[in-house]
Amino acid sequence: MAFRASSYSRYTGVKSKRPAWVPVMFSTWGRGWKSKWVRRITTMSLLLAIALTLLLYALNVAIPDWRTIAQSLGEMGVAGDRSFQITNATYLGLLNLYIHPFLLPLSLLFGYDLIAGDLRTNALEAYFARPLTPWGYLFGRTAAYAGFLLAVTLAPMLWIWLFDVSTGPDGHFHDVARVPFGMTAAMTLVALTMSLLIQAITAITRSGLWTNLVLLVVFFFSGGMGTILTEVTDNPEMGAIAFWNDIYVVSAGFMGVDHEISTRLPSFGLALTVLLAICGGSLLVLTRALHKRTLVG
Amino acid sequence: MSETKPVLDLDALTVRYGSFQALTGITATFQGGSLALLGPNGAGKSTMLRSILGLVPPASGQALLFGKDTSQKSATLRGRIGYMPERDCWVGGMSGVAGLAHLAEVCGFPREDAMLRAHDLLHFVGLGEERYRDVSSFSVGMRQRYKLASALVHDPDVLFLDEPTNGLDPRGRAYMLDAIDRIRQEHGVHIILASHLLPDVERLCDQVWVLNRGHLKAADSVANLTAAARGAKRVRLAARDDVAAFSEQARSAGIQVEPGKHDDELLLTNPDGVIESEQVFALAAQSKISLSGLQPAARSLEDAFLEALADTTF
Repeated sequence: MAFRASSYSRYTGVKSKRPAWVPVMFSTWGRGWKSKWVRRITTMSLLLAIALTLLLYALNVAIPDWRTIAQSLGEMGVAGDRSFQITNATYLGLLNLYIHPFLLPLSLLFGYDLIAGDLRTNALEAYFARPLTPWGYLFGRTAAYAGFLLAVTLAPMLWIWLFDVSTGPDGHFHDVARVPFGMTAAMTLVALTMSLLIQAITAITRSGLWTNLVLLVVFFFSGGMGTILTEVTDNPEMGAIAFWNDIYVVSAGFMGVDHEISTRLPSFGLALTVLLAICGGSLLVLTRALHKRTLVG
Repeated sequence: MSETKPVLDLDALTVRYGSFQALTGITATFQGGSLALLGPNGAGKSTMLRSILGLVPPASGQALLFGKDTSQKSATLRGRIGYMPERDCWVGGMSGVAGLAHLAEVCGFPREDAMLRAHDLLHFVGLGEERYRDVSSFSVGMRQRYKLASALVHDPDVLFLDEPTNGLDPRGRAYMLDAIDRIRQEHGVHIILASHLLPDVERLCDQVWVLNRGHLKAADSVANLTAAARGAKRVRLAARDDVAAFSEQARSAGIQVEPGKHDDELLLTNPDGVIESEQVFALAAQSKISLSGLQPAARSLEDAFLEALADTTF
């Protein structure tokens, strides 16, 4: 194929048989990565994993028996207290450490303008006039979005777990064997919920700024409402209105430590139902928005 | 291009938006070449294109593109269609060339080929120097050219053009029409052009479907539509007062006489055949009237278009 052709030429190469959503997925990563703050938060997330790994390594080298010492210290206060040990509950704390300062801001920064941007430039008309269906488009965008969130939060946590298990004493693996599955399930659900919810909001507001504002209002308003209603009605299930309560309870449930968390929180079943309902509702909004766009163009 | 099936075959195609019927039982065949969808605003031109693209499902009937039902195989068929919509559209957050390459990749081009082709296409449409700019900074004319490049980037077999010269200055319009004509003539890409600009249609198309309010009013070749009045003569008289006398003489010879564009001009047609110049000169001599002009009066596409819509109240 000639470069800098001044005339039109037919394509003689072989077209790939890969699904049309694959390039959409790659382009979504490219767009997200252009954000300076996405790069900064991603770097912070990876640095935290490295720092924790180094801390574990330093403890292992400097005080080889530090796990036993910590356990003894804990049991000095309350017999059988395991809060000084690395258990599933420790990893639940780590999970929250990754969800709140990393996953939630990243989901806003990465996806606030994905569909709004495409609606502004009528990119959907260009996409859907090609062998890409609205479902394929949505799948490509969501897979990239949720995949990115998982890659920069779940992967560092799994790395920390792997390091902890490989340097821990015999039997430690058995204590925390459920962690990777629990973390993967919890983070996948949270990442999927956030990516669908933000895309749905952006499809309605058609503005990145308004998407951020709406989400912040919903997030903080639901948090406040959840706490108030729980106190007023003395019914912990009311706490399910708070989005972050649901995330916490579902994470604890998947990690197998739901019996260790506060009783003033909603049940696992209700919290899971709320998150799945947010996913389902967001999907409905998105499919309707894309379908309407397809028809009206 | 060796396919024997018609490029487009519509069989009683009906499209509805809710209770509004946008296309009503359209039956027509386009064997290939270049087709114009003519019609006033709201005639159903864009709906027809979108229906063929498989984006709007038909309420009844079917549209076959290259012999395949567009409502069944729409995603596959869209890979063979280049669509240039009326409205601006591009993939944001990328440079012009990256956005174009991305669209080619969506159609199955390997990444390297997609990028090479995007560069080529932008040079072809005259945007080579601007290819690294964000498309949102392009002028209206540049965006029209970019849309044409987007429609061509995946090497389609048929090109759907919806008002491709909208917003272009005369130079840009000539460039655009020339580019489309070259693609059609030199590379055998079929063209389906939706427009209400008759000069564009006359320049590019050899077949015309006239649509109005969702109905197909006429379907014929441009040659047939404009040849209906071939053999007619437009005659200009030396004196305006002679018009009545000459008209009477002509009618007595079995010739139909209609007023021309000027007071001293008449349009002569013979329903049974061609009017020869000698016959006109003889009529003038018999009436002792001098002629100041005589020329063949071919019907324009505009006349044919207006005639097709004649029974319509606007």
